[in-house]
Amino acid sequence: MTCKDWNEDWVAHLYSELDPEQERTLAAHLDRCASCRATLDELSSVRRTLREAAPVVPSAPRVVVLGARGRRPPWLLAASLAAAVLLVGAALVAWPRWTEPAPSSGTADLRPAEDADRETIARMEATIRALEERLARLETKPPRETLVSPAVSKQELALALDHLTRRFDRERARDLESVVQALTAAELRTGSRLDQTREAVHLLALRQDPRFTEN
Amino acid sequence: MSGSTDEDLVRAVRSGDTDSLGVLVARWEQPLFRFVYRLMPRSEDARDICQETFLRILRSADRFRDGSRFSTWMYQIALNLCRDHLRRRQRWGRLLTDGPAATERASAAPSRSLEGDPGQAIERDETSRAVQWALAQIPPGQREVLVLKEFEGLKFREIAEILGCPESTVKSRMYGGLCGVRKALERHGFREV
Repeated sequence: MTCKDWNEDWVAHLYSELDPEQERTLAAHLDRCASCRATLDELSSVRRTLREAAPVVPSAPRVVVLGARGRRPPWLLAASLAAAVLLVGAALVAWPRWTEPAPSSGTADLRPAEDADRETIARMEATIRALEERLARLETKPPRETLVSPAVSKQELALALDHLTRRFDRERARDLESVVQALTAAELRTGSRLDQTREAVHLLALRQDPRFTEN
Repeated sequence: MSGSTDEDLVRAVRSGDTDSLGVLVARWEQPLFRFVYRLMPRSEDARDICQETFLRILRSADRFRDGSRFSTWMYQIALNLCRDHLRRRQRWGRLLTDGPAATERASAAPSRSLEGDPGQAIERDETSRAVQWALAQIPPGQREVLVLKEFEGLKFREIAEILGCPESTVKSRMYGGLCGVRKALERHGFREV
């Protein structure tokens, strides 16, 4: 029996699920084998870490069982499917913009946002316009004049634009996450009824790609 | 009713007594949520899956085999729902994004710098997040076994029954899972407790 053959017994020993005879056999091997003792110590250490730093689980939300669902009425299925299609449609409208490279000039084209986000986006748009105006003024001046320009250097502007671009990327990632979450929740409730829609969505998504040609 | 076994309650549900399902829900909602939450990346998903698990128990009570253990059956249903849900998320994520990179963003490694943190509470929080992240790095089969064994305290035999595989396979996955978590923590420089 090689040391690797003890893997299962180590695990059973860690969780006290070996019978006395197996414990004695394992103990006799550990007396002779420093490598196995070291491996067992490492596994014990991982167990301690898992126990003492276990991720905190929030309290379970109350599960309310209202009774067997039975057959869902057709209008509910249709409403669920329509909601899923609307969400997918919103994703498809935004999808080409998400896959295009960031525009080099002009105000970034933003997707429709919740009321709470409109103010933030309006401020971001105003900031971008102001930064682009400054960049345009700097670019039209001879180089030596930029050395006496007030306040903002080209490097600072580039850094600010980069920061804004990364903020847009984060917003975009959050939007995508919301769409994926809604779609998977819709599929959980409606079972496999979105399968055909998924194929249609896939084809529609591919059609947005200029490299795609239908045969 | 509160003194009835889980199996008695399922038999009552089978006879149409939905109050018995309420007792089962009260008994098992927290352990079930805890189990599902450790497998799923989001608490909203864990909540949906728990809800769906109890609904399936209600709908399929007539398929519960006498002599079986209720908790085994419940965990099997929940596990299948978790696996389906993760597959769905990957499928939709691939469809709508640039590929695996985008869906992996949600499980980005936590910051590994503990220097300058003022207290043990902060360090413990960082370590908890590191453990959560490390658990997400190991294969799903190993993660399932690790969660059921280490956090739910089930016996290897029970886990084998839930997963429908031999006990030796369960132990082998447990060994792989522990090693995988250790390597993930080491890779990002986290000191073990």
